[in-house]
Amino acid sequence: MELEQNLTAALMQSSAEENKSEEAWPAVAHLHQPAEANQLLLPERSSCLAVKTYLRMCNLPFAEHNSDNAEFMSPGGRLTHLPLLRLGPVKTFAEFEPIVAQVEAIQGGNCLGSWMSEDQCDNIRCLVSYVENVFTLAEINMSFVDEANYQLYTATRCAATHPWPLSTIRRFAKQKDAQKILKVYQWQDLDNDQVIQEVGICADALVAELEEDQAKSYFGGSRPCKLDALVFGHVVAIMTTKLPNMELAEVLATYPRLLAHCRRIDQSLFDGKLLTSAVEEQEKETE
Amino acid sequence: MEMQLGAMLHVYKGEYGLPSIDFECLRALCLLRFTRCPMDVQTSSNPLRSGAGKLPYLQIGNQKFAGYRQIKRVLDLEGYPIDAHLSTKQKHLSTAYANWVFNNLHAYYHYFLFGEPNNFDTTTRGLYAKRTPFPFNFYYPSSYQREACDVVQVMAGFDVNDKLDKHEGDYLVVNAKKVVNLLSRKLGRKVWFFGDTYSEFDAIVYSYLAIIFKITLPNNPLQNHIKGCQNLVNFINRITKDIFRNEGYSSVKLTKTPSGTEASLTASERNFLDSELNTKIVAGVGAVLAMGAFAAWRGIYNQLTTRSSTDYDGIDYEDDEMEEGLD
Repeated sequence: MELEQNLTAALMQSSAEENKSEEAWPAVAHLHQPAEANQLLLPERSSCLAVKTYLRMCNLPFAEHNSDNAEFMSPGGRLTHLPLLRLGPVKTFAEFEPIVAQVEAIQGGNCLGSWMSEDQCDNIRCLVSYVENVFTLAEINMSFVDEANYQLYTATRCAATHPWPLSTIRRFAKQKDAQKILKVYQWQDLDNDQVIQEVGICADALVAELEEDQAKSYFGGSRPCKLDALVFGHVVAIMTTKLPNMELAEVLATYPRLLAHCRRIDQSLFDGKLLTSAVEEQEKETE
Repeated sequence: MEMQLGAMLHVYKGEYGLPSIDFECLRALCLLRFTRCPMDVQTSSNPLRSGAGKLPYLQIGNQKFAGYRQIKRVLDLEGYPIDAHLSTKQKHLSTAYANWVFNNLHAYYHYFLFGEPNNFDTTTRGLYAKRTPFPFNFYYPSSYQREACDVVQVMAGFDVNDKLDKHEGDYLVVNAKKVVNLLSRKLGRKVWFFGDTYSEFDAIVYSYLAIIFKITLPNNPLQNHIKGCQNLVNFINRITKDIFRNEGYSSVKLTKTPSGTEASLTASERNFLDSELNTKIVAGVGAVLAMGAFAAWRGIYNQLTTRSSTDYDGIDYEDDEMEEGLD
């Protein structure tokens, strides 16, 4: 036990030394994403929305930019490579988890989640990784593997800003990338029903986490944390994006507790503009 | 019960005392042995016989189920679910933690076992080739290398086919070390990660760590790190010795007698000699066949049978002699 504690201390020390040389949050931080109207795909939209929600929760100012080439500017990432956060001339970060790690490094003891115990912190970190994986892979599956969605929604959006023949090449390249990602995460042989089932299991886990303690209104207790931001981003993106095949949204609609949780965050951060109208439309359709 | 139809799980044979050398096979074996499912295990299997072209696969009667996910689903339906004794919250945590370990260790495992050229050529290729039947063992292990290329490209962002100094392995190592630290802290003094009972999370952690810890690769930074966490080492050894007592295999048998070193030498020497003998026989047969084919092409057999009828300078007077005889 002592040896592993020493190892943990050594690792934390080395990362702490890096943090001391970090600057404070710059006056203007730039967040780049592709244009929402005609270029942004579903998994990318949920990732961008999650990051924006998190930055608002932390009260950190940032400037949004719509860039056509955001995905090419991105330094990397495991799933969608977006959004891109630029803090200085060379410091760029992409995707939810690295951006959150950077914000926590800059803020040190004041960051979201600092009131949680170590065990709770571990659990939240694991849930963040799990939720991001399951939801993003399900969204990638819905966007690229589902035929109706691909032809009518994804394909036109992939090729929107490029002239022919670059548009066709980009379309095939993005589809190949999506299939490679699904293969690496071992989701390539899941059919629609199994994907929906995986999303259902994840949603069950989230609802169980919420209902575990009646007193807490957010995942981390009485104040929101990064898991709330992530869940909000994905749920709202799924519910409000108009796809030809809305199976994901239908599954999520069967979890009213999750929707209530997201509505609460919506009210507090975005004045209820993002979610309420879409959910009311859905309810009218089902009636 | 369908078990009576001779259900058989096909996996790669083990090494270093482990029941299998492959992560997916080890995971599937854990599912089986943790739940005490009465199923046979076949270790000399042909990976191309499975429906998907990869081990592990499960054969029940005429149906084949390839891959860990499908095997898990079959076991859940047959009444041997691995998460049977966990509470709901623990089940959710088990899935979430298993996913997190996968995200961080999968890339490390694939890079250091298959992606790093030195490791792959000296150790891993041999391990897999010995367990694949001829003639597939020449090209089949490379399919794992191609898969590792994809994994590393997606999860770590660099290409394995680039030059060695462009490989960004440090990021993978740092992540993996953080995971091991957290696992050691989570396990503490407990027997299983969730207290008294096994879970899918134990299966995944054991499958990754056992292989990374026991395999002797030229370049494996995590091995020493795991050695530093005594509770994880105990966890790995306990599961290997207790649960996989029958399936653990090591090609070099280590005995505890005083002549232990001699016995191990003889075993390894015998292996060496066997391989030499095999090579000698094959080489000899091949040479004889080659020379015989060349000789036949040159017409030696005709010359041998008609030697009596040729003159000293080799001219054939067969017809003249026969006419003389008749006269």
